[in-house]
Order: sequence, then C-alpha cells, then structure tokens
Amino acid sequence: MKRDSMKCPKCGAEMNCHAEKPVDPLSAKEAAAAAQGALVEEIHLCPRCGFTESRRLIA
Amino acid sequence: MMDEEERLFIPVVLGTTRQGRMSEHCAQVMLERVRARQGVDTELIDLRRVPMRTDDAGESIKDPEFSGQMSRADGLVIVSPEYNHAYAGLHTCLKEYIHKAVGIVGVSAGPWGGSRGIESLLPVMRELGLVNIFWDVNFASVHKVFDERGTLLDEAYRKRADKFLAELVWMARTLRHGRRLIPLE
Repeated sequence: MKRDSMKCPKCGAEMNCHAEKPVDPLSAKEAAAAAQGALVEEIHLCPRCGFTESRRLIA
Repeated sequence: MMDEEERLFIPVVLGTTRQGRMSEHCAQVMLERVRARQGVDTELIDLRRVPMRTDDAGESIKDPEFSGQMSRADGLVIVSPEYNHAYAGLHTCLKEYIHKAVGIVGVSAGPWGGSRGIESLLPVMRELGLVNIFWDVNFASVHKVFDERGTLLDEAYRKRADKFLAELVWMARTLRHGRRLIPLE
C-alpha cells in the first residue's frame, strides 16, 4: 500500500511509518469508519532525530 | 554512526507507588545490571514521581517528562509487583511505546515471583504495542531476598537479570533498526 509520507515536525526529515494500529473512535464519523474496520492510527519515527509522531486515518 | 554502535536507552520503570514497596529494591538491582552493560543508558522512572490525576478525561496522564522519556526509550524494564494476583497500575496511553521492547520483572511476597501478575500484564503490553521478550525475572518471597537495608542476599538474581537483559538489549536494538528504516507495507 502506498502511504503519504510524513515530515518530522522537529527536524524536517522524512519519517518511517512502522506501525498501523486499530484504534477506538472519537467521533460519529470515526465510529462509522471503525465499523468497517477502516480506522487506524499510523505511527511514524524520524530516523534522524528519533521523534515519534502519529496520525489517525480513515482508510 | 552505525545503528549498532549507537547507545540504547532502556529505563527501569518502578510500577508501583505503594508505601513500603519492596519492588524499589528490585528496581535498584535491575538498574545496577543495566548500568553494567556497555552501550546502554538507563535511569529509574518512579511512577510515584509522575503526576497521575484521576479526575480528568485522561489528558493529564500524558505527563510531558514521562512522555519524553518514553519517546527516547528503545526498551523498558518494568518492575511490576503482584497485588491480588494482578499487576499494579501503569501509564497505558502513549504512542511512544509502539514497537519497543519490554521485559517484565515480577515481584511478590509469595512463592511465584509475580508470575500471575506478569501473565495478566502481557495482553496489556501487546495492546500498547510493546514487544515482550521470553525472559522474566521473578523476585519470589521478596522479603527474604533483601536485608532491611535493601541489600540483595542472593547473587543468583544478578545472573538472571543479566540473561534477561541480554535478550532485551537484542530486541531493543533490532526494533530500533526496524522503526527507523523498515517501512510498513
């Protein structure tokens, strides 16, 4: 699967997405997505400075 | 710098805030053994010193200092006493845990060395995204393991701790390489 890359908010380097975790919904929209198994949180690590960032996605 | 040469950070988390906790002595032993390893930095994270409000929606439990320590960590040693056949409370809502190594040190007043608490903690570790190692350290009948000043009386525990740490360091180094450089398909 092709992912959108994420830039490190600390140093600007391209981050590596190393995990995708199913998460619980925080809104009605997310609840609808979760019912389809399509709500995840991507975890990204910056290989340059070690900063961790995440983003929730409705696939 | 090569990934393999870069120092690891593996803190020891003392997972109970109870007064009179014997787990503090166990955590000090683990801290000593981590410090004895080359290429590994560590510190004691005492949950007694981490602010944990219980009257909000969970926001304040993400203490910035604790979150920063977890972000820096490549692996964790969790010293977890067994209370009522279960584990003591821990911070359980940080994304900084994901795909990091964890080893659990069980502590109990009884003969099983906290193994029931460890077993109940394993699925929680998995949900947090932490990667468990095979080895545990079990401090059984903990009141007999230390003297009244907290001095370890049984040298075998240091050897067990070193076995445990050998696997934890390997796992921490391997997972750090993967987090940095191997993309999820």
